[in-house]
Amino acid sequence: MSCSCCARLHRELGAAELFDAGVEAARNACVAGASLASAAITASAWYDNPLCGAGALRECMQRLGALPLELSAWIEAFSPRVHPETSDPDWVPGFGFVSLPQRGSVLRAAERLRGCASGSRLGFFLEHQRAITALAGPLNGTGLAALVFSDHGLSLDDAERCFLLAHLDVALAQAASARRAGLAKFPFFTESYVYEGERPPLRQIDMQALMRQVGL
Amino acid sequence: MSVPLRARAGFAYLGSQVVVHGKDSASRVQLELGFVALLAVQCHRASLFEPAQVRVLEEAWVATGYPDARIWCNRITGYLGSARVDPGLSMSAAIAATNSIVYGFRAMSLAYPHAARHSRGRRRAAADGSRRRSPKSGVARGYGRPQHGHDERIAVPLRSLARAGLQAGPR
Repeated sequence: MSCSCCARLHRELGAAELFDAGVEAARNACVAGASLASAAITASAWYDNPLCGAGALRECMQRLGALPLELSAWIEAFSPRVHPETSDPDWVPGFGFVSLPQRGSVLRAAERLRGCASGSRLGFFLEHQRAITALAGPLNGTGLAALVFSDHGLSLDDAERCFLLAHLDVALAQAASARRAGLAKFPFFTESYVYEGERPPLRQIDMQALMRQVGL
Repeated sequence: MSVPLRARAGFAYLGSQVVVHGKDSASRVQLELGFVALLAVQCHRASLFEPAQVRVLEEAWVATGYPDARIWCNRITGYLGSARVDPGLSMSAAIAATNSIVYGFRAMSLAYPHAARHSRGRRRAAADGSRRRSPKSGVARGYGRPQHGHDERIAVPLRSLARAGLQAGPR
């Protein structure tokens, strides 16, 4: 894979509009002052996820590798199925798990990357994207990476390494920003949950007496 | 009998027996140990801890677990679990994130020397009336709480200590 194409894909995957829960998890890892190594572990773990991470990348590339440039074959290969490990329904590797604004961003990135490699899968996908995505759902960043890596003839291991490194670079930069900003700027406790259990009665504790009892 | 795997802490005859610090891992005594007592056996020596002390640590461990996915390290496992990341990787990530300075393991490591100084200062104060010294940096790690001023978990080990007839501080 040429350096310029790798850099272009890296830049596209790292665009702010494509930030995902992997970036958010890395920010979480560092917000209380942990080292960037903590964010690296966290982000690596997230981007290893089987739904839209490295597992999906490998699966998507394996399917692409065996495909002729025929729409019917692509429709068959990218039909939603139950995930073989997680049992999630309607799973298609490289598709789905993107917000509405992200859908357009991924497609625009795909258009910009078209022609950067000698292979023709990305171009074929873009020509037939309406038909393919009508069934498979919207292309995500992992699917885009799989198309580009496949067009470059990368091995699965090299593709997985490039994919992780590209995401780690962005996630670590965001984690460093979150650490600099500190806890006060972090949106903890913004979500609201509904507790469904009971509340046992509150125990009254005389802390002063308790502290005296244990010698404090 | 298979070839034993030997270490200073114990040995294992694969397929037949595992022994850690002289105790058979499958023995009833071992199986009845709690989590903290098991760690004490495996990492140090069980004889370092009295049963009452182990119980205090065990109760503190149980009482400090929060089910809230909004806490920073729990939040990470929430993100990772939602994406179906394997539990082993998810736990590794959450533990890595707890290696933080505001609270977490690094804060705890930094709190140890201060806690020891504080305790010595308290004893000196009791003996000669001198005042406790603040840490040089002005930041006492292990104290305070970013989201709330009061920590309901403190009472738990204090109650456990009182119930066990133990005193707080280094032993």
